Parts: sequence; structure tokens; C-alpha cells
Amino acid sequence: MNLRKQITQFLAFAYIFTGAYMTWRALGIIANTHSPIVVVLTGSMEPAFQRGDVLFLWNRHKINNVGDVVVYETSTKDIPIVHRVLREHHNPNKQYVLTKGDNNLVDDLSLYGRKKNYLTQDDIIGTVYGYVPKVGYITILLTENQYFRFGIFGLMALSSLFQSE
Amino acid sequence: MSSKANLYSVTQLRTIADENLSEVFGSLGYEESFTFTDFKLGLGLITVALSGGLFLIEKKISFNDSYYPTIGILVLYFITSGILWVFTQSSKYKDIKFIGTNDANEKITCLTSTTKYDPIYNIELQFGEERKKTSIEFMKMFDDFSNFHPDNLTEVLKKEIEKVAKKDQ
Repeated sequence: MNLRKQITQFLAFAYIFTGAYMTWRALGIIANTHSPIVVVLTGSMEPAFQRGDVLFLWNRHKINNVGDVVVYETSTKDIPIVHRVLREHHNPNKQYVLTKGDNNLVDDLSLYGRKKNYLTQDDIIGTVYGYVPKVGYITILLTENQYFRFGIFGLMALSSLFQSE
Repeated sequence: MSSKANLYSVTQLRTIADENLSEVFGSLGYEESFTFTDFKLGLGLITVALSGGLFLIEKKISFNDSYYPTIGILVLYFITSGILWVFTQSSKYKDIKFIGTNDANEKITCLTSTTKYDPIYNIELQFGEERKKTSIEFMKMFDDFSNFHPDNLTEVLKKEIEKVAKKDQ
């Protein structure tokens, strides 16, 4: 097999990943966030959002209003948290936000970490402006259920065996 | 020269015939020019390199710090991909399967295509401005055991090339 054919096959395979990755990054730049799409992983925002819902984020708002649902990261949690703005204080330059899950009894103060009483704009990944219900369950199953993960990889391997060039 | 294909797949038959064009034209005295192929491969590799570079930047630098470099790389990526798309998918270029020259340095470009359900290999030969269209049924190139036999295809191409050569004389 000659080198050009090998490079062509490599590129055909690489385009699948590079195309998806660059589209993801372009969406991130448009929405001004490193994660323009996130999956709801817990039930803390029920009944507004269920586990497995896919959320679309926008991070070009100067101010998040009380009632907006924001996604934020903290040093105490590995995963992004989707909660509603309960209280906010702002001036023209910055904003402090306190959040709470609709299904939680208390606000998120304990999640923010030591000596941190509010979220700032730097902590917020984006504001939710759209969602698709349940679609994200596939990623939840892939990450949390090893049988499903191995099953999917097995099916992919089988299909590549039976697929002609 | 024998390559197996699914006789019921027009796409596979065309792919195998396309892969053998270089040898067929070689037997007719044409040496393949890889300039166009290498140009497309080069563009493809640039797009992959840009993606790889952006991935590394994402791992090393925070989103806010890498905001403008990311925009620059994305713009370059989409421009390069656009150019690559024109040369691989646009109607003018997508069917080009062979470009070569003979000893007299005469250039030939071969475009091939098929329709979805007709088992016919459509061929267009370009000699500079002059264009010749012909076709050959796949059953004349493949036997019952799916083996490719280039003789009939070589004959068809040879006839067309000779027609142009006679006209030029």
C-alpha cells in the first residue's frame, strides 16, 4: 500500500474527530465559553431540568438576572453545576451571584469553597438558553455504566469488522 | 492485477476501477502526476495539524488566555477546509481521478463517475481544452468472481486517446 493511500485513509479517519472538535471549539467561541453544551448529571434542578437533559449555554451576558439558570465550576466539585440565580449584586464592572438548585433545600454556599460567599463572572461557564430533554442520557450511561460502555464499543468494533471499505 | 469487489455495489466497483486507472494509463504511456493529489493531501494535513495545535493549546492555556489564538486557528481551519472542500467536493474537481503526462509532455485528465443504480462507468477525458466522453459497463471489467480485468477499459481509453491523436495530426 503506498504512502498517499495510507495518508488518505488516515485523513478520512481524522476528519471525523477534527471536524467535530473544531465545530465544538467554534461553538465555544461564539457562545464565549469553553463548554457550550453540558449534560445535567443530577436531579438538583428538577422539575425544571431532569438528569440527562442537554443544555445550551451562552456566556455573553454582562449580568445574570435572578431566576436565570447558570452553569458554574467550583474548586470543590469536579463537575459543572447547573443551578438557578437566587440573589445577585452588581455594579457596571462586576457581579456577585448566589445560586440554588430548585430541588435543593438550601442555597449553594457550601459548594463554593472556603471564604467564598458568591460566584463571580469567572466562575460561571454560561447561562442556559436552550435545552434538549433526555438526549444526554447516552453520555451518562457511557460514563457511569461499564456494561453499556463495553457493549457500545463492542458493537462499534463489530460494525467496523463487517463494514466494507 | 486482481482486486475483489462486491458486484452489487456500484460504488465499490467504481472505487476499484478508479484505483487501477494509474496502471491502465501507465500501459498507455502516461505517467501519473501527483501534484494535485499532494496539494489536497497537504491541505488535509494542515487542517489536522491545526486541530491538533488547538487541542494542545486548550490543554495548556485557559479559555480566556487562549481566546484570540483560538479564533485565529479556527479562521485558518475553516478557510483551509473550505479550499479543500472546493478541490474535493465541488462538481468541477470531485470526479478527477487521474492526471498524467505522456513522453511528448501532453497532459491528460481523467474524470470518472457513476449514477446510483446504473452499473456503467462514465469516463471523461480532458486533453487541454478538448473533452471526450465515453463509458464502459462494469460487467466488462469484472468477472463473475469479482476480479478486476483492465483489458476492456484499456481498449476503450486507447480508442479515445487515438481519436484525439488522429485529429491533431
